Amino acid sequence: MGILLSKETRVVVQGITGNEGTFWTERMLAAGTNIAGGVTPGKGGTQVHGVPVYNTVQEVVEKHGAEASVIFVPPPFAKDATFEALEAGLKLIVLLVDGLPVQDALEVRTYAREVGAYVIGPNNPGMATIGEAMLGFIPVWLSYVYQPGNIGVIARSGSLINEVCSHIVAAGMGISTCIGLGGDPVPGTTLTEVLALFQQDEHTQGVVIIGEVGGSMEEDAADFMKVGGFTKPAVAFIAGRSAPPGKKMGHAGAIMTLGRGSVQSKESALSAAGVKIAQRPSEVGRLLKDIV
Amino acid sequence: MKLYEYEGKELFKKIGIPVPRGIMVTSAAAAGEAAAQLGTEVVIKSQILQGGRGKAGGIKFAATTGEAREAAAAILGSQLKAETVSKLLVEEKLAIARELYLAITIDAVKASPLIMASAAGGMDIEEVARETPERIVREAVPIFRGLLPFQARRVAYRLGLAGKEASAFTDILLKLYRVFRFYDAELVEINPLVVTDDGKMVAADAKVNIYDGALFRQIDFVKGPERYDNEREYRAARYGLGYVKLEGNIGVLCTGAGLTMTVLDLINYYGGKPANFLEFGGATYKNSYYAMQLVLEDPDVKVILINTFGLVARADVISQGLAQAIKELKPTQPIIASIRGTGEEEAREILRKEVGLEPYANVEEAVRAAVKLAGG
Repeated sequence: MGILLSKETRVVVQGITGNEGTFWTERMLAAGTNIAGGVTPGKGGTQVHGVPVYNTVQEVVEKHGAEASVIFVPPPFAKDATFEALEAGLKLIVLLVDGLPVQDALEVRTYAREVGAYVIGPNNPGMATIGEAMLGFIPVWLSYVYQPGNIGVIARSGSLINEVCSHIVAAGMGISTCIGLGGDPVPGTTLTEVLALFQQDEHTQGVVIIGEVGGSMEEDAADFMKVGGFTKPAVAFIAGRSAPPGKKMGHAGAIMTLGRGSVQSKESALSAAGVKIAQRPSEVGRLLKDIV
Repeated sequence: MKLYEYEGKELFKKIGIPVPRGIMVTSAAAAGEAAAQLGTEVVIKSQILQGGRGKAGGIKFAATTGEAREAAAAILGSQLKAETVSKLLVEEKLAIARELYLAITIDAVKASPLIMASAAGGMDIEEVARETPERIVREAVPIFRGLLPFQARRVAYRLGLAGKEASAFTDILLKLYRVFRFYDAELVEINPLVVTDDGKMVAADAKVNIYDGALFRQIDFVKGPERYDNEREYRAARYGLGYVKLEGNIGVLCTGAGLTMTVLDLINYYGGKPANFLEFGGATYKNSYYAMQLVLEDPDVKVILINTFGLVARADVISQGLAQAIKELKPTQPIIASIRGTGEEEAREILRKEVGLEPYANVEEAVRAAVKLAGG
């Protein structure tokens, strides 16, 4: 249940033999992820935690019928790895890399749309369908933070996914799929696109949106709700009201210029579309209980 | 990374975008010599990274070499928009008939480069966009096709240009697009793009912002200390930390951009004031040491507030770094901490045992305690 990722989804880990790839492969396996194979050019024929390693994504697709990929490669090679996965026909790609050149992000997003695939990220913590599978860095084993349930969670920031999910669980509810869109200026997948998926998912009964200052994704999502694209109950928390204008607050996408992309603009747009606004992360649980 | 005007113009010149004849100087005497060499009336332009320097007195005209020296002496060393002026661009003064605006930036929603052009150049373009949006021509460029001449011509015609002017504009726009792509820019801007009395088109200004995340392959550009608001932000960036100096007295150390912003918001919510934004996400042991060092350098800091809810960053690794930093740097300010995420039990144990610190159970309790101690 949930969206995009289930325990059946057959996954490729690109960059599996690197430090991070190896470390997180063990945790993704423990979280139930169905990892079909790994890829590191030149390391084909080896194994990582029992997962067979290949030289190309194409080989994993041919031998195991892979459908999704999670990419652990550094910025200079990230676009190449993503295009390899897209060309091999994978329809879900989690691109974790922090520091992808913005013009590479333009190409990645454009190509993904052309072939009808979802690239989640870059600069994000990954995604998880709780109780089934996890792609990336999400600590689903922390039981006070992650419990299975029927709330969809969409965030720009990874650290806030943990914070907000812990309040959802504390309020006695659980999570269907949580998904990190990333903090870069050009995300591979937008808030609106994920809301459309949650709308179709019968299991998800409500959604929590964790936004932040900068860009226009939250405002665009509000427009999408107003035309009936998303009609389920929703709560939003938007970080960054104390961010000074024009300053980069950690995320390259979190810059506010001349009133556009401000927390106030996002909150009023979402509120006008019927979304309940939490002033603090700790209010999310109570607001959810009132409406779901 | 923002380039100075003279650096941007060097890129323009290399690719064939017409710019005024000019010389970059760092002293009043050299400004006089430059004016003599150019042999015309000149304009003396302070080289700073912020906009609005004209209104702030950073641009002066001079008819003689003596005037050029005087004007340069007046601007050099002055504070403009919180930057100290150390470089000047001395240029021939243009005979301006009209001013246009031309820029290429990124449309995050369409995921494409976006051309913005206007016949209302020389002004604050944000103001034009707000007051008379119909005066801005926008064209999205499909990223894989690139900018072709027909589309550049279309922009020229939509601006009302014709004949030689339309051709000159088309040529400049095609070249500007190559600058944008080749140098991994997030913004290239010519404001104003001048039409001179004798019908030529010249880039009178140049703004080129290179995307920081692409500097690893733009090896001709090094983001040195002069391009940061202060020396501490520069050092933070070298350590891989995101640091922004703020006005308050609560020193903040956090992991993750979103959580850090939220902690600042909560401090304000409870009536306190943060001294800084500091994110040591993806933290290693050393990162937390440098982070503590940076926060302690700020004399305004009365309380230190640490918050982590690590993903990639393991809480126990962060705690080891913090404990080490506390032992060596011996902060006199009280420390409030909330440490969660992978390895949180070990992390709390480390802080208790090594430095006698009792972590708080959640972020809001920690923030309230810090605000109280800071006198908020």
